[in-house]
Amino acid sequence: MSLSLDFLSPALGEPAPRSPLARALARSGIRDLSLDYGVLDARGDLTGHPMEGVEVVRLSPERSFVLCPYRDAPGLREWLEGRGVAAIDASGGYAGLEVEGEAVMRRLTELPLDRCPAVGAVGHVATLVLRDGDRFRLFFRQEYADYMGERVLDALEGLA
Amino acid sequence: MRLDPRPGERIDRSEPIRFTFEGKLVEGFAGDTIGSALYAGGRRVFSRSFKYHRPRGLLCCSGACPNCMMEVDGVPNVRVCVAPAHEGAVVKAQNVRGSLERDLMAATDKFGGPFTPVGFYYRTMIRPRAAWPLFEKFLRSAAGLGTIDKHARRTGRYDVEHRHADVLVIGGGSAGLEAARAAAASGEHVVVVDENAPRGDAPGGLELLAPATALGIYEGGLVPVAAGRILYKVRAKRIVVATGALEQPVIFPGNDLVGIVLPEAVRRLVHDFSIRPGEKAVVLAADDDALAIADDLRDAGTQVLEVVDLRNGPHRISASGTKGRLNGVGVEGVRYNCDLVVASGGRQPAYSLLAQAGATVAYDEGRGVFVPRDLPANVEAVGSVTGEGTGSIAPAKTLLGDKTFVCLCEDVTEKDVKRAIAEGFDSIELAKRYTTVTMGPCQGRLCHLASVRMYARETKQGEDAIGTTTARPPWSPVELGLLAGRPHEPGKRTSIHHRHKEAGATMMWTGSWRRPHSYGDPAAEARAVHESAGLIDVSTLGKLVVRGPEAAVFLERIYPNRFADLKPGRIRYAVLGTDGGRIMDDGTVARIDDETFYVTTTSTGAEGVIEWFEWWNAIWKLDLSIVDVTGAVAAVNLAGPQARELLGPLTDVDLAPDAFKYLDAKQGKVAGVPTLLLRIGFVGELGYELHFPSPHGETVWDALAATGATPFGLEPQRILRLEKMHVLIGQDTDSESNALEASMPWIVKFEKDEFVGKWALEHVQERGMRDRLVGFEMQNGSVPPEGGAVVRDGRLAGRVTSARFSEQLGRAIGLAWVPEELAVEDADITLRVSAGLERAKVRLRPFFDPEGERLRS
Ligand code: FES
Repeated sequence: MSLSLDFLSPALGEPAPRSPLARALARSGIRDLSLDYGVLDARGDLTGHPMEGVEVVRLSPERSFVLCPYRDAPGLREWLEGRGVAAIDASGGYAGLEVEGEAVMRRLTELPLDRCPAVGAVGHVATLVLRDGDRFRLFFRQEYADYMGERVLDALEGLA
Repeated sequence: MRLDPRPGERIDRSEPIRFTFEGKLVEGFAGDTIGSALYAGGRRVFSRSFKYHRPRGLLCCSGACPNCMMEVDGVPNVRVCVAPAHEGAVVKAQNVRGSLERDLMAATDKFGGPFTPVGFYYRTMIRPRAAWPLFEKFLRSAAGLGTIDKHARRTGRYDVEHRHADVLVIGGGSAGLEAARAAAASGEHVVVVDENAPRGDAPGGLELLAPATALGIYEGGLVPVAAGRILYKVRAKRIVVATGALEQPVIFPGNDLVGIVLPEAVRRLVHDFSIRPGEKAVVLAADDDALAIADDLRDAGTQVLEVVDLRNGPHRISASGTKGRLNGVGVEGVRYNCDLVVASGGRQPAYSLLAQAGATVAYDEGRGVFVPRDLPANVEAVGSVTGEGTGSIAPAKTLLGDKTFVCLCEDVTEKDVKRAIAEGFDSIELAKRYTTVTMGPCQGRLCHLASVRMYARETKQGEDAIGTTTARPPWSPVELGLLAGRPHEPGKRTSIHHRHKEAGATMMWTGSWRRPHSYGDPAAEARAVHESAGLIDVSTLGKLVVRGPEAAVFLERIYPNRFADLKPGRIRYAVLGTDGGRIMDDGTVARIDDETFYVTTTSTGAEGVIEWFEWWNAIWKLDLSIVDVTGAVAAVNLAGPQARELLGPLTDVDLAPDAFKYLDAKQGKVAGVPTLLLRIGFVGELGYELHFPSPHGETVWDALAATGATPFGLEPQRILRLEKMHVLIGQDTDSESNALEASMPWIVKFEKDEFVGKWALEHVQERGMRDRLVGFEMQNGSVPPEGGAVVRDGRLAGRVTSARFSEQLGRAIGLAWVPEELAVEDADITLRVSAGLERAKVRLRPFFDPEGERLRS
């Protein structure tokens, strides 16, 4: 059997994946996005490939994050590869959560919140910040999930 | 002492507040500060001075001097003149032995003078050397400010908050507010920082942080603002500094006596807190505003005996007192009996923040003050900080009398400054360090101008030539808790972390990762790997996908060994070198297909390797992408003679020795999870390193653990790899080590046209080996310390990098750097162990399974 990069795609596993934030956010009321979104790390020009139901965050002219429904990541990766865009399924590498209100974000980051999407340190961890009105979606490396969960909860506690 | 209600007073007489001072009840009102409530209650002595323990009372009443610092609710060095009074506060005096009225250490003032001249701690008590710790302890306890409880736990919560604004105005006085309103009117988002508690709501359209202090202006326009227990980090496109001007004390003998105050103290006591500051007063002032204080005093019922305009020529002034409290002042030979002297030597622009931002500061001869010039872009100054409406006068001629203080914070007298100059400390920067003038809590607010003037006079130069000391943040003292912020450390945890905790693992830091040291018994865990099978979480390994038509060319160029000939489905060990030929990292490279390689790195080296790869490819511009999948992929290593047997039922991959050979990579499912299986072994036994998506970490771990494999931690792993003489990069190598001398010459393919570091390794080859990394076996079983010396003819000849006792081998083994001539099988070497020397034999082949039969089985 030839090798592929399927071992990067959590959605190809039969057992249900587990969110790295599950423990940190248990009973907190904060929305855990980790298993809602698949993340593709795409290299190449995406402008010629309109995709529905996904969000494209351009990190540089050559590199983008494509956010899609979690289960769709492997298929979308193949679709992009078929169009000459190198894409890696990085879904397993990211955890995500949603917080509400600028006040808590100000306790976590010095990013200018009126200029989202943005990538920068949130609680000292490199994070992709997407803003929808007063709601902020934060995506960061899953290995920081416990830390970020604690950090966000602590910031909220400080504002309470 | 409290006056009848007055319009504009800050206190709310309908809301009494009670707190204790030294255990005694003090009553005040909402709106009082602790200082105003104490003053209203008759307290005049608020502190004892830093060195001489002289009584000190309110001087500025605005948080600018050291005179009112006390301990409040366990927090030392609180300026009570600006600290709001609150119900139940516990207030204590600090830096006293006894009480504020009777401080035993005040003897220093009477008798200690000859023994404690300026800089005495540089000269005296330093011999005999052995006694210095004792002297130091004594000096630290005798002098200083409040005491920090070193064992105290975090009691309060401190937060950091970030703010962005179009305009930040520092200073909420009339000039600051005017600038703020103008900016807000043009639609800009304006934040105003003011040291005083707000009176009512913030003016419309402005965001007011008050009471709050801007601590500095850092690069990029970052302004940290301390506001109670929140540190705001404000970034603004434009910064307007409106910090005003600082009233300067007048320097004369006895100028520190309790009862000598600045005009601002009178303004605040009378207008904010409705307190009569004294019964009989003399006003000595150098500007109209300060002279007008006489009217405030009269209004408050204080008898004003004399008003002296210091601008009418230098005056000879001397104050006297009993027990540190003022009882009279002499001006030009005329004595006035009084309990209050309001003295102001004029106002000096508070330019410090501007200087920190990069403005130059020059002496304005006409005004007699230092003023800011050449402001950096995006920084503006408005109001009296520019020098507008300010001015100051030279000190009075020296008279005989009590001590004349130039710096109240550090108890530096005029005599001290003269002595420092006589000793050769003739520049203001040197003097600052020697005398500590300007280094105390006021940060030069009240002593900088005076000390520069004194230097100018004594060295017969102009103030301009003397210059100023460098302005550095923080502009105001700040609680360490505020700087520390929240107690969180970004730590990385693998997706299996909680399983380790549940299994009772002792966790340790490796770089920024949390990893299991062991699960309680490292020796038993190592034994399990040798006898049955062990399971270790290696998700922390760095993992990269290098992909593209020129991926093989890239790896061929960046590594010293070959990758172009690596077949898909095969794995090769890889040592990464710097361009200087030094070992940087190691790992494995598995070829997925013609254009795709899966590269692993050490746990702590991942970020450096990625940067290194990207840096080189920015030069080579090869057609490939480098993607870091470290966090996306979890990895566990199942190792031991039973590994095949245990893994078999969980996977669809054929594990038969012929089908899945050593250094093969296969793909399949393990416990239902898509997995890349690598047949490699760091611990010397048949092993499979399984790489799969992180969100399935617990699933795969649970399935493997259920087979009976024993979880093992880093400590047993270190024993096992040492038995195989596997090098741990960073532990057995340092920034000078190269692959040839680290006993890995087989990794370097000199026949390749080029690779990073080739020239340097060729040079090593030409000059010959100097040192070599070898194994050693202790002769008596003792374990030498890592980092311990290899000794030859009584001299240091090398060092031990790793050492452990191997239960499997029944002896202590290790790795060490030794001179090349000792890198011979069976050579005798001597190692330092504890205080003595122990013998060891050099070994060049792995201690365990030297042929690798178990690994390849
Ligand atoms: S009197 Fe409180 S700081 Fe000066």
